[in-house]
Amino acid sequence: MMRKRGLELGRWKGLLYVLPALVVVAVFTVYPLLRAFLMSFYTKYKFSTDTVLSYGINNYTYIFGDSVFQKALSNTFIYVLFVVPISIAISLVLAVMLNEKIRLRSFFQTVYFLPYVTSVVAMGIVFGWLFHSNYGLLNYFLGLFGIQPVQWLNRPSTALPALIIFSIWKSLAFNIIIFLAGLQTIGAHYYQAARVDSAGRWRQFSRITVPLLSPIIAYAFIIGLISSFKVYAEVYALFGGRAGPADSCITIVYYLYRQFYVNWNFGIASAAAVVLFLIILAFTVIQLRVAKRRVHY
Amino acid sequence: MEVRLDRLTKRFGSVVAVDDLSLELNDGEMIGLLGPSGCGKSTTLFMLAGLLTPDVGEIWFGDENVTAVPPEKRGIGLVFQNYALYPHMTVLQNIMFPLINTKVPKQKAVVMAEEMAELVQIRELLARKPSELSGGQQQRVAIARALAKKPRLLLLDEPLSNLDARLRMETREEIRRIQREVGITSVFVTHDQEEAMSISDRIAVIREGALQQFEEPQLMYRNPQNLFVAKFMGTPAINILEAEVHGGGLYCGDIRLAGANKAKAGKVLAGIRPESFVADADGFAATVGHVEMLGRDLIASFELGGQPVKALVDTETILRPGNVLNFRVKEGRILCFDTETKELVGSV
Amino acid sequence: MRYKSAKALSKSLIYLVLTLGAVTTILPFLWMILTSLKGGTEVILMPPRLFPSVWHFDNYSRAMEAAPLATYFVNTVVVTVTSTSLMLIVTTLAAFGFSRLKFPGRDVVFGILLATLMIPGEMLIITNFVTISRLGWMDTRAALIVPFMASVFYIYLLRQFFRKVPDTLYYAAKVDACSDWRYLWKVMVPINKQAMSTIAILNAIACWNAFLWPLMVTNSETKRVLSIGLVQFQTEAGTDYELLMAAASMLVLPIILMYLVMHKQIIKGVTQSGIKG
Repeated sequence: MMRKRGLELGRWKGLLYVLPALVVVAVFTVYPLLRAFLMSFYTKYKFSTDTVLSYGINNYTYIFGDSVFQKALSNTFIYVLFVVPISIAISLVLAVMLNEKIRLRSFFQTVYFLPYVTSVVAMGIVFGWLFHSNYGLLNYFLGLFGIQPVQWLNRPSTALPALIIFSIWKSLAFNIIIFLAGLQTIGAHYYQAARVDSAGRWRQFSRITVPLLSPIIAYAFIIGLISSFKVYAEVYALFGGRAGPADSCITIVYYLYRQFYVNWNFGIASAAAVVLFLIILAFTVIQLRVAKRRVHY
Repeated sequence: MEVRLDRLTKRFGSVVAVDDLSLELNDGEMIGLLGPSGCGKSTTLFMLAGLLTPDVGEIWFGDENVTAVPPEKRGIGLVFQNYALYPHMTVLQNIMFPLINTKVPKQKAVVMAEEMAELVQIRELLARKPSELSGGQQQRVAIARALAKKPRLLLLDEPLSNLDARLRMETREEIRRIQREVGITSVFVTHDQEEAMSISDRIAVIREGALQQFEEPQLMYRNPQNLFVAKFMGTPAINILEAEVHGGGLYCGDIRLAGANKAKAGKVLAGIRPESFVADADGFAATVGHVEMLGRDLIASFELGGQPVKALVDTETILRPGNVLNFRVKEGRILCFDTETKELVGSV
Repeated sequence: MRYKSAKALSKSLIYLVLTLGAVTTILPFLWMILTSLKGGTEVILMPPRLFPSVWHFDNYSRAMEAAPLATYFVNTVVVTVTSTSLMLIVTTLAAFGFSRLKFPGRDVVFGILLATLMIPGEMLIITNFVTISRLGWMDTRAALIVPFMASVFYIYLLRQFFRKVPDTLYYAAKVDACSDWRYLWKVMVPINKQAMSTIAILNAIACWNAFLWPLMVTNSETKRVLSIGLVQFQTEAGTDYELLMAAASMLVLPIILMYLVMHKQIIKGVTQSGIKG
């Protein structure tokens, strides 16, 4: 009798250890996920009493008919399309150079990784200052080359490029970190062999480094895509709480934020959230495939 | 303390790890649990420790049935192959850990731990971390930790397997010394028959979860109960020959190995240890095929009745392949096993 | 000879590119700090001057007068420290439960937890906002802390570390009368303290920099964190860039200091976990 009870208690004791985490995840991740799906079908909802008056697919028909949402979608895709590949290309080159036998190597590394730890919001505000039309440092430098001041943040045509420049600057650090880690796993013997075959630097880079690093490049690519699709704080900080001049920099999450927090359209915001979720889910599934291959590699 | 394992059975899914195993250990005895890997010897040890519960059967420590008693209440010390020292604690803290757990006051625990360190001769290492010790030293610490809380039973799970050959010999003797000094009943799990023979008072050979034989090393070596035990004990391994009893003698092919008046006629498996061959001008002639130099001895390979055989030969004469030697087998040293049951039927 | 000079040339090219990159990386930080120490007229001087002619350290006190940045700063510290400590405890318990202990359905539950990693946090803010307001936690520290008390990713990461500890250590501890609870805190945690402190640092950085969620659930001065105070200050301070940069520095400099002290560990942590900040 005694023994049996002791064992039974032991059987469930492990659950007690994981219970706090389970409760938090259930309440703040699983439940809100399910509810978000449900909420995207709320057509009449009273937040003050948390009551739903009617359901329907109107929220979806609304957002897909909404030119602002279309703009948010296309902006986000353009943003992702520029930020991710350019950031990866630049960071790959920098990582390969950092991996050379050079002086001040750890100093360079420390500097390059710095943007990774610093607040997006703070640096967005700093970039807002750098992009300032009249007193910004960037226009000053351009002026040294005889280029007329650019109205970076005040013109719809230059606002998105400014956002992209800032985001590339911010995202280099993470990519450099993981590329450097990857480069350090490539054995020196590959390069020794290449040197014996008198392959030049460029050939070493294109024939050895990039192929051997390809799983990590793929990983950085997917991670970059996923996080870039969620771009929001960058926009908020760079344009001082607006979505750029004439909504020229509105993104999916920004649209979600506005529908929800400014307009109190819970249903529409949830529909936008579901669209975001599906996009990210697609890339996550790809990432899992890539990660699996990385293990075999 | 006497220990009794009474018809223990343990299954993992459909695999029977331990099968109806019974053993009785005398107080202060060192028992070797010997068998090939996966034979169930570690499972048996873990059941003794209380880390596993048997599906069937009972474990008795003295007159206390401990089958359902959790490990911490059994009063056992456990030593592992990989030492299992806590890497973040010093040697002293490691040895003290079981004492502190059982609420021994710190001052007293320090004294007890130092005594243990004295016993295993690691006094000067007390302030070090495990990573700063050699394998042999780590194992001594593990033994000290196991003994610190004055257990009733010491369990050692392949304690020497991670050590190199020389250290293994040394530590083996050390374990034996400590065990004698403390006078603690001990169980030593190993897959190395030589180790088991050198350290144990008695050896239990286990195969596929079942006990094959439980005996003192010398007697087991001399009289293995079955073919498995015979083959498992001794290096170089015992020679097994297909032989036949007829006309009052044991024959291997045409060669008469020994007289066998009392044995009943028929086929048997004859087990002959390599050292049971002695040079005898009147014995059978054998052409040496291959010679292996061991140092003190030589192993000569030849054929006996068309079957390959190895014999230990002294190193007095220089032996080369092709030489012809004459052998006989020492009287009473041919072990005869039943061809079907593989059990020992007698010796001639 | 030609080979040697070609090599020297490519080496100098590497230094040139790396230096340019480093300057580009560090310039915004530098400009932020230098601007924060300039006088009002000097800020809008064209062509700009690199160093201030007079070092205006008083910009910081002026910024703190203009907005309750000091309160925000303290709030941020409190939330970061509390949140990280609680997260570490909850995560450690869960990682131990999922690695060392056994209970019915353990692996299924863990699989479900892992699946939640696919959910973007941005998607959850709407419904979590409703939950928080139903709980009556709007504009409280609990709203900033409790939803982040369990990090599935860090549970997963720590579980990997816990699983590397040999089983025999656990068995030895069991025999040595050490309970699971004691084994966790006396053996597992000290052995994995490196990994745990890395997790703590990465989490603290993320918490310090958090923006969207705090923006939604806090609105009073006494609860707001610095990142929110900063964007609010951005709209209020308008063209006083030296004050705005001082406020931004208050958010950025503590993290930079921490990074300079612990950059090796942080980078190693990022490499091991592969998470994007």
